[in-house]
Amino acid sequence: MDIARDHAPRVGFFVTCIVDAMRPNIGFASLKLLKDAGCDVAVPATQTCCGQPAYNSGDDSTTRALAKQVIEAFEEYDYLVVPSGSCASMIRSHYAELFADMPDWQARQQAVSAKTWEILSFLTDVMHYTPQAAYQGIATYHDSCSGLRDLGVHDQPRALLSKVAGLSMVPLDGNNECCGFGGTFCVKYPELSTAIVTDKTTKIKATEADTLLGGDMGCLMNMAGKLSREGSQMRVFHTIEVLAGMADGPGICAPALK
Amino acid sequence: MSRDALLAKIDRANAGRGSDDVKAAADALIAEPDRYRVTFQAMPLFDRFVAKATSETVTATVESLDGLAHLPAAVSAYMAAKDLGKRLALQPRASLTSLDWTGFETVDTAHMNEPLALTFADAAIAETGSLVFQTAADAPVLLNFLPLHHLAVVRRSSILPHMEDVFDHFGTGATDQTRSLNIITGTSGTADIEAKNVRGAHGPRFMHIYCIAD
Amino acid sequence: MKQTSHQFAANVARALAEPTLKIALDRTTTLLRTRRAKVIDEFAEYAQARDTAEKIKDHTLDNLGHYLRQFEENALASGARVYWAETPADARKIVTDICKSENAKTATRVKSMLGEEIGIAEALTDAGVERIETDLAEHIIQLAGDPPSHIVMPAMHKTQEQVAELFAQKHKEPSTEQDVTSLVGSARRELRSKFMNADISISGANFLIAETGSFVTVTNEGNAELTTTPPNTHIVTVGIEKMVPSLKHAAVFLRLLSRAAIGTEITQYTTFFNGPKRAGDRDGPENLHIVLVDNHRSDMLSDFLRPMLRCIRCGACMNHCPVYAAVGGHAYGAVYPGPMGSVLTPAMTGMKGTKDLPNACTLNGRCKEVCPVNIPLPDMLRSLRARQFEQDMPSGMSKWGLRAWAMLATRPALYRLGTAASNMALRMMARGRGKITSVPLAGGWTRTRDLPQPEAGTFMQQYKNGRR
Repeated sequence: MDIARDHAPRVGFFVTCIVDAMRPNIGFASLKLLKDAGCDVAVPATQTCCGQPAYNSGDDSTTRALAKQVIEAFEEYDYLVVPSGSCASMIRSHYAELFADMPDWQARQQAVSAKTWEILSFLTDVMHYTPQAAYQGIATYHDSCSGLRDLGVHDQPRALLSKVAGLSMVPLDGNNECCGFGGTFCVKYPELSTAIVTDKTTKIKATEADTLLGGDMGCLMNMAGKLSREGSQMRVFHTIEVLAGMADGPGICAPALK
Repeated sequence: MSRDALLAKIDRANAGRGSDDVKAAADALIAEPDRYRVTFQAMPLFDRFVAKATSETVTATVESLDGLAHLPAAVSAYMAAKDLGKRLALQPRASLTSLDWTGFETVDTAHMNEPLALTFADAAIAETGSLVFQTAADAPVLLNFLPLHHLAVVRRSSILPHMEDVFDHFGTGATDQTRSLNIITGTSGTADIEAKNVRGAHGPRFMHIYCIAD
Repeated sequence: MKQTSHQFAANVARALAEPTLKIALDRTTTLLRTRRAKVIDEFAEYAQARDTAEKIKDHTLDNLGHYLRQFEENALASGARVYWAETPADARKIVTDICKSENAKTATRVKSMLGEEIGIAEALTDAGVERIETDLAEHIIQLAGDPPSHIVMPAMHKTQEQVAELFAQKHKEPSTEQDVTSLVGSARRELRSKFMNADISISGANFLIAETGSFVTVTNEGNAELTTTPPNTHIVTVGIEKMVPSLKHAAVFLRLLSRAAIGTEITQYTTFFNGPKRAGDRDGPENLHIVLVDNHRSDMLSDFLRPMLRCIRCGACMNHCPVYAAVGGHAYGAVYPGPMGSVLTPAMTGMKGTKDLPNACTLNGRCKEVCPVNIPLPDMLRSLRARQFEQDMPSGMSKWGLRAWAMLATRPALYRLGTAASNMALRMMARGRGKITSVPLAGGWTRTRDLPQPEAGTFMQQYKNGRR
């Protein structure tokens, strides 16, 4: 869906609570690529969280409050772009039921949901932009659940990564299987989460790739945290960091190079 | 809660939802069955049936005969090849009992360790390689389930494309039904131990189908 | 079976500590997923079939009263007796009474999850009837004294080696070989005479056909027919949601059920039963009793759980669930495990005592993706969480953590302060190693995983300070 425009697309960038707290590099890589793609990018100051933790805990009223905050902060932009499939899915697909009985808010919510995009699919499907980047390594790809199943994000990251000089990809057995993060799930059921991520890291290590890539920081943190604890030397990045040429520093959970 | 109270509760829960013409609404959903089932126009029915029946998920063997008269000789050859002696549990259907079974020891009921039985299928389904058996005075159910070897006879002309065609053929109304209808697709099996597929659970382990040209 | 969902944490711990269970689960769920994927891939019309099946179920549920009445009328006309049971206790009483009036001493049984749901074993014990399971997996768990752990493959928690050992101990003429073919042969020998000599047979049904008053069984072993034909009396217990309008409507589901469940186009035996033995029939039961069971299905019609009634009990959801694959069916502590069980168990047995079931889910959505009737399982599990929240069900630390976080998240300025503070705290704990191995109050994570060291400053801090 391209909004007819006589100006550069105005993007409101939603950094996500987890990237904000744990890995700002993903946020800055996103800003760089969005600008390179020709967008006029802003970072609304009142953003905090899309509300998914509250939603998944059954707290609809807190979720609604956070959703209103998102709607108010982002409705003036042409697009809301976010480096996370699960947050994009939350805003695109799950906000609607929160406002089913509130017609005034519903119209505003529908507008914002409709123009919310996960960043990798935004770059390919909306901006038709392919970054020029280089990364020496063999990577394997984990498809995060919401991005894959709700938003259909699968081909886009692979298309973008295929243009990265020096990078070759090997498939991950069970690439579409959950890593066990599940947001609130890993907090409430740590043993189950650990069992699931252990299966995942076994399969990751079996690929013999030196790099793990994906599109969601929650999943990446979970898998990187387990790989690190197992003593693996694998480098773990968000795809956007590689595409922006900003994967030359430490990966997730890796010690600083200097 | 009684029947009436339960039905009343269900009706209340469905208030405003039901169709005015329930049957018409139901029929509309299945009006174009080729949209939701495998079609195989390019392949003759018989070829499709044989391909499915002998496939590795069905595991029957198939033999073509020119007429019922050839059946006793064919069965004799099968029994000799498998070292099964002379005893044959024969479905008490006139078209079978009227054949020449000289040299056989025929019985019309199977005991629980019956080695083999010969029964006539009332129809077959090409889509899945299945045989169809209705219960009748001359067609007890157990002959199809007790023996280790199930020999089945089917006329090529009774091979129908899909399961729905079988229902149309025998009638879809309540009074068209026989006591039971068995759609049998190959030999008994189970995957209950580590999902490993094995043949010969409680039903027949071997199925041999005689297709009669007519 | 005794429900232990309220002890979910202990069940999970026990399951995770059992290495043979993981071996069994890996072997079976992988095979089932692979087979299903292959056969669905080959079924070009799958999307249409699934869509049609969903619509047929919704139509049937919308007109359930009509179809139940039609079914009853036709079943009665065929000579069957029809009973209505609101609760499991009602259903058990009907079964017990029939057994007593027949003076039955032995009953052969065809696997039925609805039978488990109503506690059929108890009903038979009350009637003084010896229960003989004939399904291979049910036979295995009967010998082992275990409840079922999967709705299609109830002995999924057992490895081949474990089954071999069990048969060696308990069968009259166990096989000397331990390959699966020999084990199956041993079970066949063990159960052969029981089919012919039982006083009563008991089964469930995969489908009810309103237009003909029939019920349908979908099986592979031959035991359904061998069980239900010889005895004088056959009792069927079946949920009211198993209804479909006609034979041709059933065909739509028959194409999906076996594909979704075990990855074959059709099972070996699809049998349509239309009443008891008729004049002239050579075999079949003189008496057929059909017990229609509600057990809260009528309640589910009235709320967001309604789509759950479409379920055709294929088990695909649990075969693709990472939680099920990690701990198996017994951990759920209820008759129905996996995603569908996590919806049904609260619906049928209440919200208290089942609190963990809707929560022990990553909401990854694979279950919904593979469901042949498109049941929105993750949505219903989340809605159950919302119902728990409304009912103020306590959930410890995480609930208070969530409250505190929510207060901050709705106040951006305070939120910035909070994230800046935790950013500094986490960096201190990392001590420049790039990762944190232990965080107070986050032991659940750091016991088994490292946490990344955050950068110097949150994104919003750095952005405000001019980094672009």
